[in-house]
Order: sequence, then structure tokens, then C-alpha cells
Amino acid sequence: MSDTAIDITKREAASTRANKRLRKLDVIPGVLYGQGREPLSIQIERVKLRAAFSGDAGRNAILSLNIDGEKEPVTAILKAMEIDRVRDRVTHIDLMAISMSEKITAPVPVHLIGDPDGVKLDGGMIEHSLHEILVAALPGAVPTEINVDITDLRIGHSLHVRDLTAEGSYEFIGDPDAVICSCVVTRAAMASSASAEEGGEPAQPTVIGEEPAGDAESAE
Amino acid sequence: MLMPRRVKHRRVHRGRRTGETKGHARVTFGEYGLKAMHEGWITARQIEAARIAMTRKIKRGGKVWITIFPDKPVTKKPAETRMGSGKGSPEFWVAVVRPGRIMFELAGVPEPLAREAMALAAQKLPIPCKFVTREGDLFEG
Repeated sequence: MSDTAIDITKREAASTRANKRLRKLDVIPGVLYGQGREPLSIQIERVKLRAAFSGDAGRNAILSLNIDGEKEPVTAILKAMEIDRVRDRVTHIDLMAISMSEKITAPVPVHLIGDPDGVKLDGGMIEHSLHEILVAALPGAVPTEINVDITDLRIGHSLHVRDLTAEGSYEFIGDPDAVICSCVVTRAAMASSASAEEGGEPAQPTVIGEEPAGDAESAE
Repeated sequence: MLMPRRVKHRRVHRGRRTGETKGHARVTFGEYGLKAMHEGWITARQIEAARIAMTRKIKRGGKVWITIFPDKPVTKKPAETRMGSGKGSPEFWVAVVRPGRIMFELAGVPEPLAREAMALAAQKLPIPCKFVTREGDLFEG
């Protein structure tokens, strides 16, 4: 991955109101820490951030930060983001200074490739459960994406993290039994909902502590 | 229709619906989602109507997740009843939804079809909603 140069400025006022004023000007407040640095309050223009993370590496892009008042650029990655839950916009970012010779962990997007047999022949559907896998690697060796070939996936079968082989100098971390994707039967839920529709007026739920004798025994 | 199997109390207070959603503000299971932009009570009937509208639009293929559950009973007194004599009987069940909550998710269909299906589902709900995708642009101005 190549470095993306980005200019950032130190943030003087760190109050909630000051941050709100910044966001109105399309500037995102943030913090920079790591590598023994004192946490530094920073601010970055939204447009610059958008450009920095729209490359091939996506949110795993390595940033070369030109901080006003500092001579040497700081190499950093995006560690965390705070997101407005209603508007789906970034409201704050955490940047972590890194060393190019120390391993980092980063979530890498998983891309499914191929037309599975379960879909082609049996009319199933692919259920993609794991969209990102955590990998540990040197900053320069973090893959931009992990391509998974699912051509041989039959209906009722699943692909797990342990089935993948790392094609570079990185390793998968996390649960090896985690399911990446499964080939499932479509509209299985439709049958159950159809039977629920035929049920007519719903019965009232039982109140805990007031169950009929038979129900209470079976619950225990 | 959706409703709990067992409850601790037959009747509950109405509660408050201030603030934003506590959880499930991002698309988690599928590729597309329908996000609540306002607070409200979504009844089990409305959830079912939205689900049917969506599944009819996408026909075969695709998968739908309902990520809200109507676990709150709403009581009502019978018509032409004098006030008093205790609280009414439970009539229907609602899910309490706050702004930002993803209520439905969809996967396995192209985005234009998902948009149309979600628009039909949103028609059945009493609050303004927004179509969202898993890979939404978080840095958009």
C-alpha cells in the first residue's frame, strides 16, 4: 500500500460546541495517538479524508500526516470512527501513528468470486455472513481485499475462515470457525410465515409466573 | 404476526421515546437496510404488511431480515366505556423505534430492486424511513 499525504491542523478548542461548529464547516475533529506520542487533538477537512480513503486500500490506507508545526510527517492509519447513527456520517476519527516495521491488525474486506454450483444448479442463494476479516501484517503487507472463490460451494455448505489460505505475508486472526458465507435454500422463511398467516387471531402470551401447571413443568 | 411467547407483565407503561437508537444503526446481516428517521411505535401488523410488500416485490430470490420485534403490549378500553375500572386489555403489540434504527435488511437482489422493495415497505410504516446500504459513503458532505 502506498502512503497518502494529507495535511492536518492541530485543534485548539476541544469542547463539544467547538466540535459542532467545526462539523458545520465540513471539518472533522479527531485525535492522533500511538508510538509513544501524547494524544494530539486534530482537525481534518472532510473532503481530504474522503479522497484519502477512496483509493484501493479503502479505510486501511496508510496516511502520511503533515502536521502544522512539525517537520517530519507522521505515518498513521485510521483506528476508529464515530458515526452519526441517524445521518450515517463520520463525526470523529481516531488516527494511530504506526511504525512500518511493526505488525498491525486491520479489517480487510472479503469479496466472493465465482458463480457457485449451489446457486447455478440447485437454485440456492449465497448468504454472506462475514464481510471483513481481521489480519495481522506489517503495514505495507496488509491486503486491499481478500478474494474468495466460491465456485464449488453446494447448497447447505459453508465456507469458514480456516478454509482460506493467506496469499501474502499476513495471517488471519480471530475465530477460525467463523462462517464467511453459506449456500442456503431461498424462501425457507416464506413457508413459516405463510403458516403463521393462516393461524388467524393470535393467542395472548403467557405471563411468567401465571403459566398453566403443564406449561410451568415443561418450562422447567 | 409477531408477538412474544411469554411475558413478565401483561401490561406495561407507555414509556418515553427520546433520543436516538441505542443499537443496530448499521446494516449487519444483509446488503441493504431500511432506516427509521423518526421515532415511533411500529405495530406487528405494520411489520407484517411491510414484510409482505417487500417479499412480493422481490419475488423469488433474496432474503429479508426483520430487525425489530413488537414486544410492547398496548392496551385499549372498549368503546363507550366509562372511565375507571382499571386499565384496558392488551389489544396489539408494538416495537419501539428510535431514529437511526435499521428495521429491515435485504440481501441477494440487485440494488434498484432492493430500493423499490424498501420503498414499498416504507409505505406501510408510520414514520419516515431511508434506504441505506452496507457500504454507504460515511465521508459524504
